[in-house]
Amino acid sequence: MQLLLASSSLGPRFTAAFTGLLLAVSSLSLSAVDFGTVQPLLQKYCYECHNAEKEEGHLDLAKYKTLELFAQDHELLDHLAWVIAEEEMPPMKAPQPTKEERELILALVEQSLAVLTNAQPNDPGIVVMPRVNMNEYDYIVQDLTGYDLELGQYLTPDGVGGEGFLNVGANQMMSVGQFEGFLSTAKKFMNHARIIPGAPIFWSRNVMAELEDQKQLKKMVAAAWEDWHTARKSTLANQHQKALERKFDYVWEAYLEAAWQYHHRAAFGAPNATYEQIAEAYDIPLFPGALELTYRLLTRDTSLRGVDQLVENPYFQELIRQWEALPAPRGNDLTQVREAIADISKWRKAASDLNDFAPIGPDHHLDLPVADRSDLQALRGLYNKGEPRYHIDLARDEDGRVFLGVAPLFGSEFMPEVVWKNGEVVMEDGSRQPWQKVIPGFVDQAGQQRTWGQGTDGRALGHGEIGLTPPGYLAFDVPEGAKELHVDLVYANPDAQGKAGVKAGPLPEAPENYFWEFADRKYMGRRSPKFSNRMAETAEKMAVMDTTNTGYTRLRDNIAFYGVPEDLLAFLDVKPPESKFPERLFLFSLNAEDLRRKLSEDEQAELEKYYQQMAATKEAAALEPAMVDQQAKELIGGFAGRLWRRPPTMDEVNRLFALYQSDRAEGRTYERAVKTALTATLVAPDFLYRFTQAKGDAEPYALSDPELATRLAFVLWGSLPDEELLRVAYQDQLSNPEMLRAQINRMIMDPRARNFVEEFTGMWLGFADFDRFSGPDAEKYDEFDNPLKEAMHEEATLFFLDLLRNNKPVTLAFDADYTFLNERLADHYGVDGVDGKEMRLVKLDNDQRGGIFGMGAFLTKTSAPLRTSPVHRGIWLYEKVLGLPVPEPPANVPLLSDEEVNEEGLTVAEQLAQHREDPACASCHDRFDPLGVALENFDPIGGWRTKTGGQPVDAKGEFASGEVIEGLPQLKDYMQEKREYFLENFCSKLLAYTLGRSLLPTDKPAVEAMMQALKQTDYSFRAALETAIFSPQFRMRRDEEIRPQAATPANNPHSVASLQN
Amino acid sequence: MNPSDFPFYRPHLSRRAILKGLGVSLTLPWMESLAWAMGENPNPGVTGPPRRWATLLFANGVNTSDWWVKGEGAGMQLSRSLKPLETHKEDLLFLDNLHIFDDTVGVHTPYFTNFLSGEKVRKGSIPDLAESIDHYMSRTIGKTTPVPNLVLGTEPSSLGSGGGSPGIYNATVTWSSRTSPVPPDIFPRQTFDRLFDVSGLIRDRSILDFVSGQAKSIQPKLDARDRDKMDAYLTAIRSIEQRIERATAEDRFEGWRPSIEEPNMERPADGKPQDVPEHIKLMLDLIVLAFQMDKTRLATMVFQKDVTGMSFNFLKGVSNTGMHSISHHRKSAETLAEYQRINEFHVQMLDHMITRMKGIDEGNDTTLLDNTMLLFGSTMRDGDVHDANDLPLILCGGSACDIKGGRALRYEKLDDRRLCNLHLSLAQRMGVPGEDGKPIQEFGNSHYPLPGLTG
Repeated sequence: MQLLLASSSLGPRFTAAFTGLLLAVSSLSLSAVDFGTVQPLLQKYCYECHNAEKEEGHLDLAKYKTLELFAQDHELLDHLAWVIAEEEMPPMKAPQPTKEERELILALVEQSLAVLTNAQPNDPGIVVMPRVNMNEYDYIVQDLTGYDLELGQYLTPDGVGGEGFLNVGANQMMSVGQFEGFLSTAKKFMNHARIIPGAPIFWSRNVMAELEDQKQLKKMVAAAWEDWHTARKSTLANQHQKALERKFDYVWEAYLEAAWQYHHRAAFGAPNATYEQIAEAYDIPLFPGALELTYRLLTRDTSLRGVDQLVENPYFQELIRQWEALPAPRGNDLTQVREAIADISKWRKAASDLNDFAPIGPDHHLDLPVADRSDLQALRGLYNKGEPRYHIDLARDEDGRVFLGVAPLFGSEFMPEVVWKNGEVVMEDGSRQPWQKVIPGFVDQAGQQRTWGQGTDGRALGHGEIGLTPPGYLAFDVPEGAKELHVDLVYANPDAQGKAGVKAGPLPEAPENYFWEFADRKYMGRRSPKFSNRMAETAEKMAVMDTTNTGYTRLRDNIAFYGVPEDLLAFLDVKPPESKFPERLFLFSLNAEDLRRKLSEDEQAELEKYYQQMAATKEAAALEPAMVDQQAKELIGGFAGRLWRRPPTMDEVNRLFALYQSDRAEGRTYERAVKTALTATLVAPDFLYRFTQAKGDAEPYALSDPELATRLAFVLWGSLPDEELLRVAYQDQLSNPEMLRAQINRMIMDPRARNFVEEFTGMWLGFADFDRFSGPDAEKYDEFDNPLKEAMHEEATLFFLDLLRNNKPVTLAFDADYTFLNERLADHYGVDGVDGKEMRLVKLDNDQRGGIFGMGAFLTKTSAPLRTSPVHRGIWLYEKVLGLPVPEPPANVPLLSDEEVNEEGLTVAEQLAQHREDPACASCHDRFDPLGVALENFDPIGGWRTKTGGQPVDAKGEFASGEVIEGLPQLKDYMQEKREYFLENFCSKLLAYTLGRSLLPTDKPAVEAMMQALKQTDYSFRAALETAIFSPQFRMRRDEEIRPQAATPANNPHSVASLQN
Repeated sequence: MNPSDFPFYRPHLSRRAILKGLGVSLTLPWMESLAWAMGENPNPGVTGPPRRWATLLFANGVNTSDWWVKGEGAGMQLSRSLKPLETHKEDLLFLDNLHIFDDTVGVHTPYFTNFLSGEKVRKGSIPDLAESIDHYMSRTIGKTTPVPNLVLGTEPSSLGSGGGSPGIYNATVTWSSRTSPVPPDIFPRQTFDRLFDVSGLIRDRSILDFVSGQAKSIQPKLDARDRDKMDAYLTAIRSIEQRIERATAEDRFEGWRPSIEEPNMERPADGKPQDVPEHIKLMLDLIVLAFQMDKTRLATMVFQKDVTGMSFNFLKGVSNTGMHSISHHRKSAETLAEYQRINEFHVQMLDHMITRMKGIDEGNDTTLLDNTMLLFGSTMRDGDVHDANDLPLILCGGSACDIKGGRALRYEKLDDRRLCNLHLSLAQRMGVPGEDGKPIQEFGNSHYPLPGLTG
């Protein structure tokens, strides 16, 4: 292999493909071999099986009667080189050629390959038509809708092919399952569309309910408008709440305080202060509308509808009473009033805990109102909707004991006995056992032993049932290997249903902490709550309240429609809101004004879309039926054109329209009928495949401009060509070099160019999809969470995107003194002065990072779950970055320990050194291990470290030659020396990616041209890319000879009979 | 008879001589089964439950010290990993010393994707192998059922860069042609719908008509390679169209009828289940149900892809390390214990399937298991050293297909131990015709039907 690196005139990329060949022929002079000398050998050893009649392995060698014929098929020659050099052929049982004879054959192969390269330099090769892959599907959907709907995950992936990219047509299949995947995914995609006659398609991030009939459309668009407000409102309220919590340590109370200030505005010397002014005066501005509402509620302003009811509520009365009792202002000192408000706050929290209960029954949660839920995580009572059983997690329990607690609900009139029954213990292996088989019995809160089939008073129950009268609990030991308990809970007396209420759930250790007493009764809930007298009074009143009256917040309100024109509301059958305040009043409710005031530009645009839907629905109602059909036809045709990258023919449009018509004839909605036609365009071969019109010619010919546009768009965007690109192409302007260059430049600056970085650089260097990487051990490296991996993924992506867009040298990959960070990643790397979530270019002031070698994504990806892997890091640098060949490892390789230090106390680096003492391993490992060892200062998730396993880090990589590279700076120097390999690898990979196939010997000139371009432009990424796109390979194609009959399953040339060895 | 003394060693005999020499064990049952597998009833009045073949493979081999069997019949002793099969001994035929090739030690790639074709894996960056036996059967006898065959898995092909061969080589053992590996279906809902959702299919019919029309109009514009690719597209569509026809043909069954007519499981949730055991079980249940309702007679499932990072930390005592890494146990007692637990888990999954199949009465005193040849095993023996010379394989059930269980067959003295012989043997029992329309006589590199299965 050393020989390869030294002698290679072709460069490593090209030698890699012919490893076996060059090794084998090295002893032979490369002077011309006469075909006539070799043919008898082929005849002697090969033709017996590989002839026209037998055609073993689909190969008839005998037909190649001259050197010209022989030197036609690169793949055949490549394959021959391999089987001859590796002595795979002739088969063991057949007569074997001598070593010299093998070398002669190989020399002929080599010579033929040379003929190939020289005869057709820059041959386009056979590029099998690519099919949309799962990533491209996502990119296209994003293009069409503006949303990343992540639908590609529902397609069955083919895996990588060619040089390691996903865009290789020859590697893409279409099994029945895959087609079904495309069909069902197209339908999923359509679930995001709202289609209204006469309007463009409205896309939504969320799945939208299917219309049952056309009349429903009104309701749907109105509901969409309202839902959007509701969702925004809760997000906004949430953000507001968090901001207030961070700043003031309280939230809701801020409004009590502001209302108090407003009340006393004269005393503060501002008798004319408005809600806005007071609200905006807070560091975290309050919502003026919410403040106004709060104030008017607290002052019993019955001119506001609903207030009259609210003031009857005992809980609310108590709140107002306390607010009114707040002390009067004393100058500008708020200390006293804030203390008083803090008391209200305590009372309010305790009161709301009382509200937080649920009766048992199929519609309710089994849940515990505890303030700190983390202590209940171990024993979560999970109630799955739709499945009338409780699921109790047993596996994570540490002391092996579970307490099934039961207590009355606050307000329940009596305490009915409950029965746990039909228990089933799910074991870790998935098997299930009736619980009475694996749980011998229980102990109750009084310490009494309880046996199966026993009620509270010793009353007999059924087999596998156990009863308990609340309050109390039943304790049992978790059986060995148990994972979950699935169990039903019912009242012993069914009549209790609806009259009484209990809450039940698993409690962790020390169950007594979860019971508290109030008014002579024991309840279950948060630990030792403190009750004031006032609290007790309120609670008494609440106890007699009908529980349904406590749910103020559950009802929807229609403030979303505040400000919508009345004629539109009338059309939509929506009652216009009386005021900007919600119908169901509650403190701190945002109103429509508050909400719209806070919208970002994107949100405004989105809101506008929902408004347009309502408006379009109204307009559509006035359309003539014939117009409606016409609109459908245009929409369908336009959609097909976009997806198919060409105008559909009249016939195609008519056939698609017929799909629409037949749905309509069967009474389906407009939307459904259009979707049927759109679904057809999405699974049509015209969309899924990117074919080029064959000329039936083995000679290369230029692609048409539209074909070129599609090819270009999928390379640079992984998506469809846009309108401009297509327009230029259909004007036959794209093949004009100036125009092509201009388009490339435009496309690189487009946001979609990210997809190129992801698909090319990401797949090449292995950071694509890093945001979903889950390699590191989740327990040992719990800081490796989503924000961190997303930031690492962004770092690598932005680095290359920046090189590309800003025309920077690719060599910066080795020696940049900057990288891209946000606060999270900067903290992880130990870089100061980076705040916020935004990723940005950061100059580095030391040599711990910089360039790709210090990037978290690579360092993490090449680590084992619990430790670094210098071998994988080394191989990554050697093979992925430099493009040098690493042979497959022999079987029976001794592996390194999982942890940093093995059982004998050796570190990974020491284990590697030991491993290299074995000469069989040393020859390869000496090439890359030292490179990986030099990165030992980076831990398995890319953090900086100076110690490992208690020892100082040894980042000294030592080659057999004695050469040493220590740490990142020396590694960078070492890699700099090998820069040529990197550059050639970069060009080769880039060319292979743009072409969507493996490289051929005939691609050598194109790679050389790209290298040349790099050197002339100070290593501009863009120059290399442009050169690849301008190469004849990219802009031309060649057909495979047309076989007389295409393969079909019924007539399969690759049949069983022909596969005999 | 001691199975290790099997009188198979017949060096240098022709295939014909082997067939003759083995006499009664090779009076093959294909003659009648062939006919009804082809949808014809050769002996009017004589119909029975159809025969099925399922192949279930797990990756990365076994902990060999806990994978063995001693004795025969009811007295058979099973090692720890095989213990979950304790109640099924009479239905198990252990097949030892078989392999894909004679020279089977090396890296992973050559010994996985070719399990069902026996073809040697060639180097290259685009798929190039051979049609597998399950697919070959699907396009012959598979025509009888609404769904020709199932190809299932739980993990997609790798998206990371493959080690010099296409990523899909790790993910599938089914190939529909020399250049077309079949990616396994990993979404339970999709498989369920394919098997049981006829109404949805009928609604899609007009879409299928449209797109196949498009494909046919594109065909003439393409060169040979692209045309092959468009053929695959058309084949997929045709297969769905045929399914519609067969699913709506009421008179498909003569005499024998499936024990249920409606699926007895719920439509699975959308997407890929996160929980590994649930996912595997769901797929196995789908196979059982598909067989039970005679929606298909052929199924292939790979529990996970080769060189998988699948985590088994849901098993007690198994770490979060990926399965492939654990298989490289380098004789560490701790890792071997984890390896064993993983093996045992897979055997438990098999037990789950066998138990379910045993509970399904198919008439003629047979259960679904009796009418199914269930081939289970791995593509390596000791995953640490990549030993693929002696694969751990169990042929389960099939007592009504001339398979005699309760035995362990050790083929170390057989002169040709390649798997294609087994495939041929099972294919003959399935009544598969060869390319010439006559009963199949050879498949892949088969030499003769694997002897001894009948007992």
